[in-house]
Amino acid sequence: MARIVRVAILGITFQDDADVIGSDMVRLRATIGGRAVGDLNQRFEMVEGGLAVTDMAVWGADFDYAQTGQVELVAEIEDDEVSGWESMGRVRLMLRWPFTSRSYTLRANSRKFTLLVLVTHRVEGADGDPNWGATFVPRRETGGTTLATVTPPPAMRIEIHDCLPVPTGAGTPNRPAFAAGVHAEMDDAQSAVSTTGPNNVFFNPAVIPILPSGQVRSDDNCAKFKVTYICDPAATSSRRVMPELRWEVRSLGGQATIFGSSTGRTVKVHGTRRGEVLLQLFHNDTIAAAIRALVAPLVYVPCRATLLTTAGDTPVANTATPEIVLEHLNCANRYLWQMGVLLRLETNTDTGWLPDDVPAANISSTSQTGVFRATTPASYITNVPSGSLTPCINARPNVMNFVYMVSYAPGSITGAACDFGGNATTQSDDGTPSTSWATPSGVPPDGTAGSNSITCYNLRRAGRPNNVFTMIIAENGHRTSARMGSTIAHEVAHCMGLGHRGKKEDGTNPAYFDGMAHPINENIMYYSAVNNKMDFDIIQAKAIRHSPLVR
Amino acid sequence: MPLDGDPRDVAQDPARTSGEICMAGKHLAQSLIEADHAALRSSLKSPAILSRLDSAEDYRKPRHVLKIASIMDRLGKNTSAPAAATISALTTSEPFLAHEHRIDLLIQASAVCRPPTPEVIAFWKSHSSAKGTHIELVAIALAKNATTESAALLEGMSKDPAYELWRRIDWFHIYVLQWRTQPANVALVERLSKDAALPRELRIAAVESIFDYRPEEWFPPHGGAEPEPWTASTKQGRDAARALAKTARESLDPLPPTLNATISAVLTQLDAMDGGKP
Repeated sequence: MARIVRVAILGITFQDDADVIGSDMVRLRATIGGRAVGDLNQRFEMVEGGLAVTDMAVWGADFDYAQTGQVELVAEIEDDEVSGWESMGRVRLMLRWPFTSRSYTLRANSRKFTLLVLVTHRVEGADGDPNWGATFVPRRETGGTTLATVTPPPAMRIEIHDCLPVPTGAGTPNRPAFAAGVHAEMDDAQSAVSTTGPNNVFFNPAVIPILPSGQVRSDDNCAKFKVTYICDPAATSSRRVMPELRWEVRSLGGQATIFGSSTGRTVKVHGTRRGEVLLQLFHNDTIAAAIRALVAPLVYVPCRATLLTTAGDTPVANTATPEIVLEHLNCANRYLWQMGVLLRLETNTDTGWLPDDVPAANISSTSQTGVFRATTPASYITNVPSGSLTPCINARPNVMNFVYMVSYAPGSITGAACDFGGNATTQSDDGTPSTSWATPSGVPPDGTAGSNSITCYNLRRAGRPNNVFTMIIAENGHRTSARMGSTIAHEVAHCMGLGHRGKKEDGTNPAYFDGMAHPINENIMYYSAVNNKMDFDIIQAKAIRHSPLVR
Repeated sequence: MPLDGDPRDVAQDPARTSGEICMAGKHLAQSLIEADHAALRSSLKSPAILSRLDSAEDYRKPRHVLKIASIMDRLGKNTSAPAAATISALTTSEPFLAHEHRIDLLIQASAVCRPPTPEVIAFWKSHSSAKGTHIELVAIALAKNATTESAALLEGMSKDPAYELWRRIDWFHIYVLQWRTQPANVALVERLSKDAALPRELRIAAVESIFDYRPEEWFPPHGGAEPEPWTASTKQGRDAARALAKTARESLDPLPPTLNATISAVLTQLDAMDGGKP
């Protein structure tokens, strides 16, 4: 059996810096594990914030990591300058055993560009029980303390982490050491976010929704949970048996029912009564793991979008169409589903609030109900200042209002929450396991879970309409709808009162810090753009329920 | 690959590809040599070159993805006299100013001109209409320029009721904040702080921009800025801040308690930087 890791360059994103953007084509020089990969004759166009997609078959290499142990990737971008090829910077990544999951992406940052690297594992000539899956992934986190003192008979360890992808480093719990030759299984559940299909793509959501009456329960509207880690030190490399696992719902005030099978590594659930529940996983009639979730009614948040344009033959306008707006909302809903809320374009066609210099006659409907066009002076569309009334154009109170414009004066953004606020200033949570397994998590060997709290925010400035919730979108066709979905979900969550999760790299608090330092890269409210942030946790799901938008 | 030809010639040759012209333009824009800038000025005043660099279709994209943006960006980082002359010359070039994107890029680059030439000052003034689309970029350039001349223009704009009050307050909370240790900006705030004819909230905001930082009150989660740290200040800037603190406490008495406290904290930090003594 050979355990193969494939390291491939997925793409390059260029920083939003005019020193870089607008230049001519660049080339990429890369080695992986000392081997030159790719094609030096290939040229990449520098697109702001975008992805210059590479051919992973050309820009990658396979390694038997049982023999290699570590793989170094070195990549350099070279710009076509007057004097010849000039380096724009070099990045290095050292991938060391143990790798963190079956398939994941890494980012290597330089000042001017970021390299996206895809790491995948496979086993060739796999032995053992095929029910384990074809991949055996080492899962001893570098940041956790290995429980080397576990004495025989070692216990099986099973985890159902509420945060996917599961945080690495110091946020991971202590775990038993693996027996020689044995590798635990782990799925990171990085589901694809697409513009079509069901909303429940993310496993282990914070909320199990109670469906509106009359809505038929199905695979597409249940909350899906899965095991995130299994380690059986008693197993050997030649004898692996998939453990029998059985799920049960235990009420912590709320109630939910299992939909379909209650055995195996995954389970589907629908909510039936408000409150919290504990999904317990039994192995040999012993509780092996548990995950806590909030049961709450599924809430449809009414929203509307207004596309701004100037008058005239060559209008200045955002490139979005009503169809693109719909794609953005669909993708955002994949993330927001985790908190039991979904954006839905409203059917109300009333003209909303308008500044004095935009008459009501300038607002028109489009082919998509809930999406409008507004003809305005250019000052509402380009180089818009932070305090502008742009986001309030055509806004209705207690509705999530999106305004598509062109550019923002304080800096380059793709979207920003502007007017928001809930009724809460803080939200606490003291259940077990703790939210996002904040230490102490209550998951053995951690001690009893402690109480956690987050700060919630309001931003209501003078001279603006009352009770509006607004977001501007200045994306102009450079980002995929899937990526914009993440941005919109983040900003809508601000509008519902959430702050930023996690501290900055220098240890200081970002603006609108929610007070919790964990997790950073995985939580969608992390202040900075990272590739794998997609999780909302239970304390956030509780907090947004104080927002007038979630009613 | 190396450029085929002298960059001064390539930059002015519309028969070259946009990539070649861009490459040559970037090279010239970061040069310290007057002859290079003479060639660049000629190039960027030429309608044929400008349309060769970026097509009409390109101009439908955000300005910072244009090829001309990368040239202007390098120009805006070049503190030499020839570069300032190029910027100054472009402020009166009809072909160059024929597109809004290029006006924006020129405003951004012009912040590097210290001291600003009369042409640059006139250019700023002509694009600072309260209802125009360039006013915010001009305000940013003035704060960043941080010279006596730019501060005087920003002072005049700050006193002008044609600009909405919230907008003037944001200029300080977001833009001046980023260059708040610059002596000219501190002196500007001191003058405003003692102008009793101005709205008190504007005078307070101006003082706050120098001493305080309250992002959750001043701007949305992604619409703000980071303050310039006092560790980057000069002795002149620190002395200006001390003078401002004294003036603000006298002319805006009583200051909001939180602002008064942050002023005291900053003064303590400044004294520590100067060996414990003002």
